Parts: sequence; structure tokens; C-alpha cells
Amino acid sequence: MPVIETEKLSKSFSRNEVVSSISLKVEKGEIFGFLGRNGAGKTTFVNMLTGITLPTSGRMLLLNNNNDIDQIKHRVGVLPDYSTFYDHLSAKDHLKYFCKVSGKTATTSKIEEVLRAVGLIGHEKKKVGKFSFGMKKKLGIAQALIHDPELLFLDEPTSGVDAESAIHIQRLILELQKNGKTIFMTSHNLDEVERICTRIAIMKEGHIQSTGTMKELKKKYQTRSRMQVKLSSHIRKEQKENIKNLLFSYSIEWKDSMLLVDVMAEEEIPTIVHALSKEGIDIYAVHVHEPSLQEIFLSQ
Amino acid sequence: MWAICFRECKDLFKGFKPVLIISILLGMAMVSTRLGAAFPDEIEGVTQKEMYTSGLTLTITLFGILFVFALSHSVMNKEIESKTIRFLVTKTSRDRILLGKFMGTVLFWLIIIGTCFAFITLTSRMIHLTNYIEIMIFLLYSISAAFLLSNTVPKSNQSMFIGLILALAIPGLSLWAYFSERWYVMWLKYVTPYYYTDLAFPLQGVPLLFAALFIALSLYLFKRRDF
Repeated sequence: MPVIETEKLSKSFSRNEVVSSISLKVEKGEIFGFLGRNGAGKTTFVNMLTGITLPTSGRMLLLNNNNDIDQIKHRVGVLPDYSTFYDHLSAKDHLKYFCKVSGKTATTSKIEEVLRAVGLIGHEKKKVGKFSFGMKKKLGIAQALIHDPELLFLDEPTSGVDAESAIHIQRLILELQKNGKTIFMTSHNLDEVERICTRIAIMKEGHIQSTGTMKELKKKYQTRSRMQVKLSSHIRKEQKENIKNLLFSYSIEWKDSMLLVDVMAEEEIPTIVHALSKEGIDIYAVHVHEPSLQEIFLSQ
Repeated sequence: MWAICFRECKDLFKGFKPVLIISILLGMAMVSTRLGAAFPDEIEGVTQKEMYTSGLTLTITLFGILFVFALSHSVMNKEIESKTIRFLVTKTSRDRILLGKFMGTVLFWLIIIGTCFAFITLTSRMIHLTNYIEIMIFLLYSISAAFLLSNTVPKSNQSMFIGLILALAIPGLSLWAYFSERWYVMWLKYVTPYYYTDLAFPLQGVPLLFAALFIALSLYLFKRRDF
């Protein structure tokens, strides 16, 4: 049963339609990655789902609660894209306060557990006004987790944090998924999305261009793969000429002893290998380069 | 809602402005009690009991709106400006946020005015419940107006400027409207709380209807807003 379901959800600011009729389903336990260039409408879409922005039209259903987000806010954790904290409060005070606002009470051990999880332990009594951007981002994640929600919306959780913290946050997201939580995240870091998300949606100009697992997206957008065949370094010029004639229907390239062949389908790979072997050419290694999420993303 | 209420109330006690306002009000409460003690008999229709609270009542009548606006002109728009509202709207309903803040502000004034009246009661050895209620009705009107202002004007520096002008203009205009025979001025006295303070119960409670209207309007605006 989906934990997030939208039907023709749209948002316009004046006459400008920022999110256009998006229908989407996210299942329980998924890490759903939401990608798009700046201004694609990702944050507006997340803001509608989290109650920050009101939809112009359409329907949404979170945790099986029809349209009334207020009823399930205590079961949802949100890291908004941009937010500031109360500078005069400490990290601990923030978590206590936000937990109470959610209608729950945070014990000291729970606060410490969450601060440890995000890597802020030892800073609990420090005023947030003295926090760096990265620390504020971590506190943002902590406040999203403090009331133990089932569903998490994380808008760019690793942007602006150092590499070590980013890895720490990615591990935390995977850990949360293992604990049965559903995570809906946006990110500009395509490697991160490729590595941790179970499903991905790519958004462009207010529309969803494609949705699917990484494998499905690769299959959908893979127009060609590049086959790299490592041959003997002593390959002769006439042998190269033979190969060119043999593979006349393919686009080939040479990089020293490396033969690069563009293939349209996976099935062509064994045929090429077989043909080369038949010609008595020794094959040392075969590598097929598949398009990365970045390449798929850029092709949109 | 209660978490927001207590946070709002606690935050109102911080800083220079509340200290100044509390000092003025307590100072006026002390002046009142001395006045009451100095004139043990009724003078020109003012009872001794009224004399004890006259200083405080006069201060609230003249500067109550100013005090409330000075502290609460940015009660909502500051949270929106700083985007801290995003954390709140993702955790609870918008009704609860606004009502929590409203109740926090009311609680602050209940404590402040209550402290002043406790001081007056201890000194005069008289209960001044009616006066306390009258002042709170006046302040409830002012607090609701401050909430409406803060929800209507998006920037806190603008709401401070407009609030200041309104806080100074409302008592003056009300006084003018109170004594004026001109129809285009007269109506003003019916929408400000001053006119009703002279009337008997239950008409004294009319400003509460305005307060409810202001809060309802604030809620309407707040619930339609994108953050």
C-alpha cells in the first residue's frame, strides 16, 4: 500500500505553473529520490506534501489519510530545503520544543540518541546561533527524527555539508530504511541518489519525466552501451584492419590496444566476442560501460 | 498548541522592551496605590477603590495598544520571515500555531497585569476584579489587532512602523470620534474599545467580539498562506 500517493497535484504562483499535474506513488520502506535541475519544481512538490505550501489543485494521500495532512503530521518528519532556527535556543531545547509541538515528549536519552545519530553529540547545549551551516543541516535532520516518524521528507539532506558528514547522513538514511521508515528525498548529488535510492523520479519544468528503479531508468534511456575490449598490446596493423572489416556495421574506435565498440543491445556483445575469437584474436578483458544516473539525468 | 503557547509567553519576557513595559506598569500601579492612600474619601465621583487602580487603567488606556503592538507586531510575520514557521507547519496544524501564539501572548499579559493587580490588592486590601477584567478585555482587543496586523503585513519592520502609527492614532481618533457629532468620524468610536469601557455589562464585552473577529480573520489569512 503506498504511503505517498498524489493525483494530478499542481501548484501555480500567479500564472506560473511550477508543478504540473503530478501523479506519483511511493511504497512503504522505499528511499525515493527526487531529481531535477534548479527550478524544476522539486521543492514546491515536497512543500505541498508537507503542508508548507498549499496545492492549487489535485489530490494527495499521505499514510492513507485523505487530504488532511494535519491529522498525520506527528507521523511525518520533514527537513525543509531552507530554514533557520531560533538562535537563542540550544540544540537540545530545539529538539524538546519541536517534539512537544508534534504532540510528543522527548526524553533526554531520546534527544541524545538522535543527536548522536546525526553527529551532533557534544553540541547539545550550544546555542544554535553559533552553529555552522553543516551543523544546522544536521540539526534539521535531528528535528525531523525526534518524534520517531514513519515517513521522512528530506530536501537536499547532504547539501552544504562536508564529505564525511554526507557519508554519515547517507548511512543514517539507509539505517532508517532498515528500521522500516519510508524516505522521500531530493538531492543534487546524483551519485548519492544512485547509491542509496530504491526508486527515482526525474522532474523537469514541473513535470515528472521518468520514474523507476535505477535499472529501469538505465534500460529506458540506454540508447547505446560502449564495449571496451582489451586486446594484446602486440596487435598488428593488419589485424586492426581485419577487425574493422569484421565489425563494419559498428562504430569502432581504437585507444592503443583497446577496442571500443558502440553496441545498441546487450545481445550483440557475445556475438562480437565470438567473431573476434574466431579470427584468432586474443581477448584479455571485456568491459561494458553503462550510462550513469548523471548521464541519464543530463540526457533529459 | 501548549508548547507554542508557553514558548511564546516565555520569549515575551526576554529582552529590553518587556522589562521597560513591566517597569512602567508596576510603577503606575505603585503611583495608583499612593493616590488611593492619599485620598481616603471619594473625590469628584471617583471612589477610593477606583483611585487605587486609576494610574494603571490610565496607562493601559493611553498606551496599552502601543505596549501590545511594540511586543507583538511581528508575532507571526517574524516566524515567516525567518522561515522557522516551516518547522512548525510541518509538525502541527496552522490553527494550533496561531492559537498557541495568541494564548501565549494573552498569558503574558494576564501575568503582567495580574502581578500589578496583586500588588495593588496587597496594598489596598481590596479586590479589584472588575478593573482587572476591564483591562484584560482592552488588551485582548489590542492583542488580536496585533495578530491581524502581523498576518496582514509580511515584513516585521513594516508591521512595526504601521503598528506604531496605529497605536498612537487609535487613542487620539477614538477620543475625537467620542466627542464628535460628524457622522464620518462618529463610527470610529464603535470599532475601538474605548467607547465600550463606559458602558454597563454586557456591552463592555463588545471588544471581545472584535477580538474574535480579528483572530478569525488572522486564521483565515494564515491558513491560506504559502511558506
